[in-house]
Amino acid sequence: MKKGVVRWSKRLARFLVSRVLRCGPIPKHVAFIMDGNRRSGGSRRMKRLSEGQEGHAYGFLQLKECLKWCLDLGIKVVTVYAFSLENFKRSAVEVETIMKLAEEKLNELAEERGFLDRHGIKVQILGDLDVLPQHVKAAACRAMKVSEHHEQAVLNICIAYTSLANMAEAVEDGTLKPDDVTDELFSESLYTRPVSQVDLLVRTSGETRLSDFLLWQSACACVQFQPVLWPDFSLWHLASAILQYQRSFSDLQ
Amino acid sequence: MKSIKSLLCWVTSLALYPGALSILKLWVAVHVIFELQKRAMFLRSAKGPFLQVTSTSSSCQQALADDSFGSLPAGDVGKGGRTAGHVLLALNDASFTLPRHVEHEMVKLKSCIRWAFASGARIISVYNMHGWLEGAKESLMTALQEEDFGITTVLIGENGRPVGWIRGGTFREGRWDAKNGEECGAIFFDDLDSGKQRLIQCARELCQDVKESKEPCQRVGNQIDPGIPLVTNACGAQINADFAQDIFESGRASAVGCLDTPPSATSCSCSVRLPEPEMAISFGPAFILPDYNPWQTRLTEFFEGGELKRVKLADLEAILLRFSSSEVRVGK
Repeated sequence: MKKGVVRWSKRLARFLVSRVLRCGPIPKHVAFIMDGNRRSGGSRRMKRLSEGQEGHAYGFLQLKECLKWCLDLGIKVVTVYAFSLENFKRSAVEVETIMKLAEEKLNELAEERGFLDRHGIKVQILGDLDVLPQHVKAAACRAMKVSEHHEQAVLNICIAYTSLANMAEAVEDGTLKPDDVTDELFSESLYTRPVSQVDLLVRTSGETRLSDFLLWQSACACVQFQPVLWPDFSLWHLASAILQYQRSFSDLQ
Repeated sequence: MKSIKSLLCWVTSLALYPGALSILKLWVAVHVIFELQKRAMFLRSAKGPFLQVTSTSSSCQQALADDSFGSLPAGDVGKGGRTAGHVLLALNDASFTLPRHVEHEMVKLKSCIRWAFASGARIISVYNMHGWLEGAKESLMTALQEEDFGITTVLIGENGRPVGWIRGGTFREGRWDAKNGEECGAIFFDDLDSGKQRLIQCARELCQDVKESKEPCQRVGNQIDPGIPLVTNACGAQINADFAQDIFESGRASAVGCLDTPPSATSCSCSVRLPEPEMAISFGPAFILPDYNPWQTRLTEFFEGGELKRVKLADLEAILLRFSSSEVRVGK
């Protein structure tokens, strides 16, 4: 009974926080750099099945929670930085672990459609999918396929992604007339079309750089560098980020 | 602590929800203050060798005591720990509605530039994404020419055309010569109004080259190296390239860029190789990412400087402390 009361209290607190925050402007597109999974796995002193696996698994659970909070707040587009092209420099064991986890979680998303259908979430996997293993590519395609008709919200998961590679790809096709190349066309050529502009960018673990994530899209965005690790990111941290956005809203305009 | 906060929120909101918007706003304000205090504590808690150097520096202590930071002797700060070679000072203050407002903040701006040099920066760019620096260019140049940053600096206009000197030097036969072989710096001016526009311009020139069946010197492709210009315009670039070689690749230069938008590797009409800024300080009431050249900010560390008119030496030192203790893993 005690657990039930605590759970109910938390739900009520979450409801009230979202109602309070909705009094002010809510960002349409929020980007998260989910940093700190490995460090969190170490600090939790979990039995290590393989390098960083627990941290990344917790990171994914946290992503689902965070997505629920964003939907409660009315945020339409959420973009997360799951795996960078630079991350392939990590050890082969860790990369393989992350790929297996990605495949598992993408399949889970595709099979448990209740969550996606209930909230009308469209899943988009952004990045150079050709460099991913075949099984991960297949899982990504499945997840995108089951949610392609949803329109209420968008979840962009950046895997094998760097902003420079995306921008270079957008520019590489030199068959356009010079005058046709505009800001809007460039934005439309990026993976994050049609909602390219990021309103709020949040990075966890205290690092203060973008690490090649949405460089074009996050110009003039409000940024929050949170010192907490991603698996420990809570509704309060998201609320403080949203509050900061609301305080900066007039300057952003 | 978290559970007490959530309980307090729940009780307050439940008891007073029907007509208590002011109470809720108070809660919001308290929370924001709490977060800001946490952030300030975090900035001050970073430790590193830099702290030991500045704590014994009498000029820094004097500057702190005066609550201003006038002239810092070059090399007095920033020794030990990681230092930024290229510092970007982004002026995002919405109160800069006219160029003359930028001029009003020149004293603080010059102090920040001086501080950045003293911290070991080799290149400093001053950037305003609204394009208001252009209107203040003349007065800014005049003001900068009156300064002595400890090194010789040369002012360069559009497309690498030199327009003047700070602290002496001559331009002869397409080459800049500092007096007696001293170190050289450079100030760049440009007219594009945003970092994104520079990339768009580059894309347009690439399309133009393709249309005219020209082979650009370097095409955008899978080999991405931010230090290499995407497209180099061969026309008129020879002097610029030589100058760039002398100034930047010799490793002896320090530069001050005073620009609406900074010159960059993606500029098609200026082939100066400007390295990526390692540190960017955003000045303004809100912490906003500047619309700087997106190609060059992938590993830039962004810091909040607050309002330029209220910035203090202690704030800048805290930023440098955090920067020096940060670790760049580059994906690993």
